[in-house]
Amino acid sequence: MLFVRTEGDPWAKMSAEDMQSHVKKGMEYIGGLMKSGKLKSAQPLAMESKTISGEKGFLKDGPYNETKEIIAGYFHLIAKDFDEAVEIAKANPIFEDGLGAKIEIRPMKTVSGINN
Amino acid sequence: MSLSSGHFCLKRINHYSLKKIKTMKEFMLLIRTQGDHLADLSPEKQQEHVQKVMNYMGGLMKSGKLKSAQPLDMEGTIISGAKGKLKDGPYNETKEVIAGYFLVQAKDLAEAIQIAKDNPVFEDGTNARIEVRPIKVMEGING
Repeated sequence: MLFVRTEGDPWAKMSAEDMQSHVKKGMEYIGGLMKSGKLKSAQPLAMESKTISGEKGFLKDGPYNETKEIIAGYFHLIAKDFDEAVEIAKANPIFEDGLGAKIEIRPMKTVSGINN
Repeated sequence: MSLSSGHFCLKRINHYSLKKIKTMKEFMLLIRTQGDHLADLSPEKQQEHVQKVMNYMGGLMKSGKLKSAQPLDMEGTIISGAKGKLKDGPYNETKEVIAGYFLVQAKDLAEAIQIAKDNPVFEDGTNARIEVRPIKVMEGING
């Protein structure tokens, strides 16, 4: 699982042309991953969100983000190993437009008996 | 092994739930914990917790609200910088990590919040938080 981490909404600071060119690069990147069968899913996440915390019976709906860094989207990949997932992350065009983005790469666990 | 965030892939759904799902929105629930939140529980407590999680996921599956859920390994890395000067790692500078996720289908944010609140991760003093994020669905990507 790849989490795309940005400072606030990455698109908010872009001009309309920059956004269009960025989206185009993003679609080409995604298209390439789909063709090679490495992309299971990918979606951006909306900014209107909540964070639940506390203990059962005393749960609180907090504002979703107290820090500036947020998760702007995710990529669920199928790669042969961790290094390949890192390479795929590094090819993401999010690193080309001065957005200050980071990508967190996390291997998934598999639990026998409940996995497909 | 942490089972609290579960691991489920919904392979088949019947026609009734398919119809229902079309009016549903998708939400990503990120389980945020202080390191491996089950590491401090006794084996019995862990087993009990896992059982509760399985019941919770079973209920979500039956109602057609769970698309997938996976626990994540504690290891990972963070790539940062700009093209040509990318830096690999370190993975986590703070103590809070994402221990797993649930991809759910709910009619609105309020229902997704309710689903998050029912998660047994809040029952065993793990200090977990769940971030509830609506997904902006882009057509033609998800397989």
